[in-house]
Amino acid sequence: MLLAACSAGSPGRSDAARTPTADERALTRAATDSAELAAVYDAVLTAHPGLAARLTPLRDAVLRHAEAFGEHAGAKASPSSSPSRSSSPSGVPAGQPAAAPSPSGPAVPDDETEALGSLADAERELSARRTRELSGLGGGTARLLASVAAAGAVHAYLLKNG
Amino acid sequence: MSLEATQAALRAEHAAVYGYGVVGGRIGDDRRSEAREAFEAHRARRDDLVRAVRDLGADPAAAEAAYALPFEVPDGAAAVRLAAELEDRLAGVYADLVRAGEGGRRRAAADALRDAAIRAARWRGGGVAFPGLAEMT
Repeated sequence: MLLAACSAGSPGRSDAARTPTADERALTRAATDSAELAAVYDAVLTAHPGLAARLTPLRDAVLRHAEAFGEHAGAKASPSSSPSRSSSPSGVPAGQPAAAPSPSGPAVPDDETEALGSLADAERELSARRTRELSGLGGGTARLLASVAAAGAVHAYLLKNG
Repeated sequence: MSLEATQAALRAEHAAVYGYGVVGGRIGDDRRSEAREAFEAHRARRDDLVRAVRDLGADPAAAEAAYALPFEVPDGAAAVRLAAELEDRLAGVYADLVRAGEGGRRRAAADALRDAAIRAARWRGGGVAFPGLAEMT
């Protein structure tokens, strides 16, 4: 059903003219959300370099999530062309705004424990939202989103208890 | 399709309940309560899945009398590895159940996937980027 959007009868149609499917929209948004979350990690790492050993593996996992979402969104939008990693190093599909931090950047608490807590909250909120929004998506998209939501819940756990 | 994935999850929970019995016999005192808690949680999930299979109009898969362990479990360290392995397998079947299910069943499977991923990370002290997705590791 969701593959119907990629009809072979409209080869000349530009991507802009085609309405994205619910799965494409969910994946594109998920890529942006993960890239923005990685930017929050970067802000915390800049403010608290002493947390690098603990946070870098989690930040790297979040970047892998953004990349996987971007690739899946791209594959759904144009199944004939393989998505290129080099064109979107952060995993955000081309044409999407990159996860540009606001001019001042995300606010980071001065206290390390509070900074970890704010990251844990961000992970937990995103994880919960992704789980709530699984309904109506294609099976493969839901499976990927649920896995990344689980990874986010694990991150929240490790940030609070690790 | 949903029935098949639900039965697969039930079989995995049967195996996990058996496996946590082995874990409980070998685990160190420091982590015994954690193992007990996980054992109880998996019994509850197993019972939920038995009901879910019946709701789908089928006979629930029965537990085996015994299960082959993936490796020898002579001590507490091996028991911790086994517990993590059990949770990894459950994460995989619940990820498949998310794919097969819809609505409330999909949500419940996603919650179970999350819980398995957190337990696996607790046992190991760290997580993986894509819990339950063997092809992404």
